[in-house]
Amino acid sequence: MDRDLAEIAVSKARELGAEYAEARMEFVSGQDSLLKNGNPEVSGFERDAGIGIRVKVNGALAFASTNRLDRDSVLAACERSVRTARASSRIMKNPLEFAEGKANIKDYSVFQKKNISNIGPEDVLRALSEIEKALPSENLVGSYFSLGIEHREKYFCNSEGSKIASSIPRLHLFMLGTILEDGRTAQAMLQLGAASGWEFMDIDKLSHFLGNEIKMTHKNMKEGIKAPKELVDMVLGPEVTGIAAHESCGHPYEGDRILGREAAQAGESFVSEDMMGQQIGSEVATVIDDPTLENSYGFYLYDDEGIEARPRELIKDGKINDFLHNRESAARMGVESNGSSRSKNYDREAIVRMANTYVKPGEYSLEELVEDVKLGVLMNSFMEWNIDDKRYNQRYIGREAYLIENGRIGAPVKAPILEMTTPAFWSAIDAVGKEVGFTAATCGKGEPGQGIAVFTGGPHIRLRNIKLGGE
Amino acid sequence: MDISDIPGYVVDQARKKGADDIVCSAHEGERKQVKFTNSEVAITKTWESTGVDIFLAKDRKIMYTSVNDLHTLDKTINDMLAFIKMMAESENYQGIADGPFNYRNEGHDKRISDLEGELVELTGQAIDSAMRNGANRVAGVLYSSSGTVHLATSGDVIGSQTGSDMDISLRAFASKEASGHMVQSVSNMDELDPIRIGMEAGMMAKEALNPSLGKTGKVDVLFTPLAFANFLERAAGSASAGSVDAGMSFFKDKIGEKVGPEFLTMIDDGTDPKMVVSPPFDGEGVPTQKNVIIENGVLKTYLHNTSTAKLNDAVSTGNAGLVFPRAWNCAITPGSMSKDDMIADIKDGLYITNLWYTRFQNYQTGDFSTIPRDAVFEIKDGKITGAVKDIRISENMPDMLNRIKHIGNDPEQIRWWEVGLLVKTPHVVVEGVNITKSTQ
Repeated sequence: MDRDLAEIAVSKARELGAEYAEARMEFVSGQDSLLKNGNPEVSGFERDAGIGIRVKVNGALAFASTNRLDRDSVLAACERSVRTARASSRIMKNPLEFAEGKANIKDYSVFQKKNISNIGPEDVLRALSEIEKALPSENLVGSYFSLGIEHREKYFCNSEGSKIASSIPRLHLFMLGTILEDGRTAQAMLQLGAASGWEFMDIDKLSHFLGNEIKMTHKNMKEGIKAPKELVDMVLGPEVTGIAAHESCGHPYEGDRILGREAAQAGESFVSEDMMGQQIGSEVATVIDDPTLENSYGFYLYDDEGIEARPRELIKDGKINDFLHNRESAARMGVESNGSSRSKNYDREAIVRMANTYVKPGEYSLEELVEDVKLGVLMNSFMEWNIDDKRYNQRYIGREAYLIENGRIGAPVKAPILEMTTPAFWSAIDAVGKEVGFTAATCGKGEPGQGIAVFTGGPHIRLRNIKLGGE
Repeated sequence: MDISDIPGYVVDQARKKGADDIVCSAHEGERKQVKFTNSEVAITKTWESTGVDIFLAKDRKIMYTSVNDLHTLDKTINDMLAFIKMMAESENYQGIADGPFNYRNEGHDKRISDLEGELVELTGQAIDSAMRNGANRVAGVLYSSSGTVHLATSGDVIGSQTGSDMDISLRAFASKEASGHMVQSVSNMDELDPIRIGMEAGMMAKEALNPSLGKTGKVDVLFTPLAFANFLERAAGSASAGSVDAGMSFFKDKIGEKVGPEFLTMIDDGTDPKMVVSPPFDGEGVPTQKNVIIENGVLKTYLHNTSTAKLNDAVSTGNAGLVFPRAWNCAITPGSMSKDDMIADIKDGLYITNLWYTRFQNYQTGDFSTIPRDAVFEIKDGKITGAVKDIRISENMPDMLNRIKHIGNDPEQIRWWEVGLLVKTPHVVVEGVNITKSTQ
């Protein structure tokens, strides 16, 4: 990677009148394979490289990218960005500011026991085929199964002296399984991912996990009873805890969303700046977003503005404690950036994003969470889910769920619907488990869209006195 | 090498090196965006890109790649052929289309690619118009895009297409909980009307002030084109033979069956120059055509490329993507009723103006939910009586299509953040739509 090109871009933008300039150059090599119903449909590889330049001129922001990595094209992108920023600054009433950012110089990479650069398409396809063959085939009538690996090298520099180089491999396994029982179908959508070398592809472990999910989905279909209509206690497994942490805590605590910057796309937030410190949940609820978790799918150590990443306690003991910020949203709220600026690729503006969002573990075992539940539902995983664009009304439909009666886990429950407001959800938690589990996911935001790698997670949590939804 | 020569070069080189089937497209383009927030420009963005997509098949083993370093083409072909040797055979691969073909030659609005400072001015017009008509803050984007694609295949296909278009998407707020959203997509810049878009979104936001909590139950719903486009995008996606094979279609095994009322006809039309997206050829070079997916309520065809067509005893419908078939656009035939007539026809129902976060419980059965966003109005005895909030649609897609009661006479082309496929639809009324909400 010719880092000089990025340095030249920053110098040129400054020379043209930008009060701030940054350049992010990325080289991506990747490959993926797809099996459809066991048939190797297609394999592919990608080699992508380019540079994104962001400048601030008279308080106006502009971004330009090119995938032509020659000096003339890069300089032309600089000129474009400064020119368009200057044009919009003429009608700007509130010039934009950035929060202070320390100049960081760092070069880091993810350690790989088995380097994915040495993995060929035959290895990818073989791994997929081996996992597929090990799955229970009896009721699995359809499968759409893909494995993608990518290696992303990135160099970021800005006019304040930051120079950050990173090298991050990522793997992503996706499966949509269609399961048949007595003429009816159910579907399980499963994702696994990590920032890791090829050692992540432990075929036995992955086959076992996916196989179990399929068996449980089938069992739920075959034996599932209707969810109770009366008030129940809910015990949510890590997958459900994680999606709730992501959707109803991570998203509404994004600084740019609170400030309305994503209003016409991913929406706004029911949370406002003046709610900082307010009790939003029970005292046992703490939610953390931490990009620095080793081998996590959302891993990074420096964000795409060169700010050092750190864990953020979004909800602490039930109180709103922190928002996710980049330098723009931080300045607007008068705080420092907490390193939440991420972009999908060199051709996307970095915006405020989550990384790995999870509920902080407590002290309970699953048995302890269940033992004093008289009537309840254990929801370990979900199918359909969504939440409104202010992040207030959410819904998760259980895929693997069981009835809890008098402290014992019993029969499967078919498709219980948890449909409730965000404050009601976080306030209903009365106990938190001790073992955390994570699920890989792709979070959507930004215009044009930027699907980005994240973990969602947490331990089992217990919610008291819940009225389940349904027709 | 000029970019227009690259596909032919790649096809020749790959053929010499032993590939059976080769498809290569080279593209270059520019895109510009003005993003506005809180009634101000938040950022301007410009993208310039060049790239090459290559699809190779040898001994029924298939591989694709995307590269943007044009100096690595020979290495890329060598790598692909080396990788292919190690791949497994695809039972489903049935080859690509044999050309040559003739393509219609359509012009495009050359002025769009020259726009730059004007985009900021047009944005200002939209914002001002929304603010004059009831908004107290406005957010959105304005895009201009232009680009050229050159295609060559080992099936004796050579083609190229240049296109340009513009999109505006504007959300106006009259309060934190009262908003209206309007979008417009055009291929002729004279048709872009930021003042109308701003005005309509601003007025809608104002009308949506002071919403009350919505009620659960089954009610008749009038959907705007912006809202109904969500359902049609999923219907067009379900019509792809690729989706059917992957277990992601609620139209599986329904060819020849009734999937909607008699007055529902849904098409994918790559030949309509008035549609903002209507390419002359598909990913294999097959000329695009008008495909009637649903005719008078009956599902007539899936969308095919050469492989899926042969596997289904059909012919290609001109919908090849790089790997799987896809719709180019989706439109339903308008009816005769105006929006006001349809409101007058509803005794107890809702007028839903936008949707988001549509998620399926099961793609095959079509069980899903989606969330109304922006203005939602209650209709009583044929009149709008006020705004409501905090509701969800929890439904089944095939059932809902069969419950379409009226299709309006006012089609609009919709494409925005939530609806990626270009969809042309009027207002539509669906009977007995199931509404749920948070239990606590």
